[in-house]
Amino acid sequence: MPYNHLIRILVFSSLLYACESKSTSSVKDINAEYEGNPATDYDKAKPLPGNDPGAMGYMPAEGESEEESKRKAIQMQIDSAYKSIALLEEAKIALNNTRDEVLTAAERNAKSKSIYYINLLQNEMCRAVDASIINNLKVNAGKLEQITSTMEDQVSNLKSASESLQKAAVYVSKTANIFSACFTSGWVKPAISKKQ
Amino acid sequence: MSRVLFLWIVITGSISCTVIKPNQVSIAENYATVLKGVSTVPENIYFRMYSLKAQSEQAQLSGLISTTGSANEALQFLDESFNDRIAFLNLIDSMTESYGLVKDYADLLMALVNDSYLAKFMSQKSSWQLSFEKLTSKYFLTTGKYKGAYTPASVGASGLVGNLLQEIGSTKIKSLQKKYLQQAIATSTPIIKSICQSFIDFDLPRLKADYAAMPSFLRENFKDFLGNINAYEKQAGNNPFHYYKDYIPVYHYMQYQYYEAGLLLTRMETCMKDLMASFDDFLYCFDHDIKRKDLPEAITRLNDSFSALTRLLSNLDAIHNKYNKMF
Repeated sequence: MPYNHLIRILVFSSLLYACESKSTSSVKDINAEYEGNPATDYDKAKPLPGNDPGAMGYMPAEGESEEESKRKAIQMQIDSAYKSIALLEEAKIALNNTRDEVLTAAERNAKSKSIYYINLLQNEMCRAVDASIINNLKVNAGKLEQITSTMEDQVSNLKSASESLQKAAVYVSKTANIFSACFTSGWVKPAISKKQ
Repeated sequence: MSRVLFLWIVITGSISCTVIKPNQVSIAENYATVLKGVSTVPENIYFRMYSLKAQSEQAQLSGLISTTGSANEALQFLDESFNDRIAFLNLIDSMTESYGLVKDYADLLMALVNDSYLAKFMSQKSSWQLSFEKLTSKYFLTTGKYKGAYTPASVGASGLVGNLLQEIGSTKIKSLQKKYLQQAIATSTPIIKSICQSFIDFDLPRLKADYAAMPSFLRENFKDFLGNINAYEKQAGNNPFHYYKDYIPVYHYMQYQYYEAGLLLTRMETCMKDLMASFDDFLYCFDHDIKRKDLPEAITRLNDSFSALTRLLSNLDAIHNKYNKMF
């Protein structure tokens, strides 16, 4: 078996493994907005070679060109990134569902800090084009997890939001792995490096 | 005698084959105008989207700073937030630099179309050359790095450009057209086509996903900002209404910018898809000297969508001014 095919199979296996997490997101799937690309239920997508139930469930068909496989993999990366962004947004909505006037200044600070780090993570998700970004993503996901555990222990009024935050943080870590896999395979947007 | 006649027919025949006709110049001008027009739009859209995100984060940041008790922590957030904005600017550069190459090719083609474009090109020949060489080398580096990602760019392009630049200024435009116009279109098209395809495959899904996620992003950041104002004002015994009313235009302005970005994204998507569908027709029309009134439907459709895009771009300021007068 050619070396490239072996790498391709390994990368797809790791991507599919990373995408196995169950989601009960109530946020409207952003893929529904894509023209000709209806929303996919990622939990039900069956990866059969050559089928196309959405980028998440995609496996290369026999004889599919490398270019086509790469295009699908990049779209899977984009889908995963925006799925993570939607989950993070759900956590933000849960945080904002608390009534600010009943929160203490410290609680409001914890809430605002969480939203701030969620913003940073969302921004990094949408610009996941190189290794340094992937590293930042992991660092900020760690910071968010830290705030989430603090929230669970100390901030009673914000406990309801912590479940959403935990779910988002887990998905962010998995998406970071998908980005890493795409990056090491050279399957990232072939952007020309920034102006010197 | 018959041999001389045959030679004369061959010579005149070959001359007539290489002479560029007015229809061909018109097609080349149409092609270059569209390329130049669309090349700056991706940067415009990315900037609008990320600027909108940054504005909404600025409002949220002020809520965060007001609730932190530590000046050191406040400064840490301010620094991180600044770096995040710079990262947005760098991202826009890196995502859209390849479209600069489309613009440079379009400028070169325009210079071969008529004397006024040529004179303009001459005045900026050195800066064009620097930009083109830098972008081309980066492009080759990137496409080499991501093997198989793009249609390989023709190496003949560099030779063509070098020769053309040497002759520009000393050779008449008709001679330049005869020698280089067909070659310039043929060698640049595969690169331009692959850059435009990357807009559809990679930029468009990102931009559309960002666009779909934007309303909630703006709303939730603003909610956090308003929540902090509400709590502070109530604690101080003030009615938050007096403060909220000052921030309503801020939120509405963000919504307005979102509306503008959506108009631009929709027009650009249509235009880029029409352009992708027209490349082969442009080459065919150029090679076969097709008259303007007989242009294929794909090119007519592209010209319509390009016109809608440029009309929107030129009207954005006017719409903006009208919006501001509503308050």
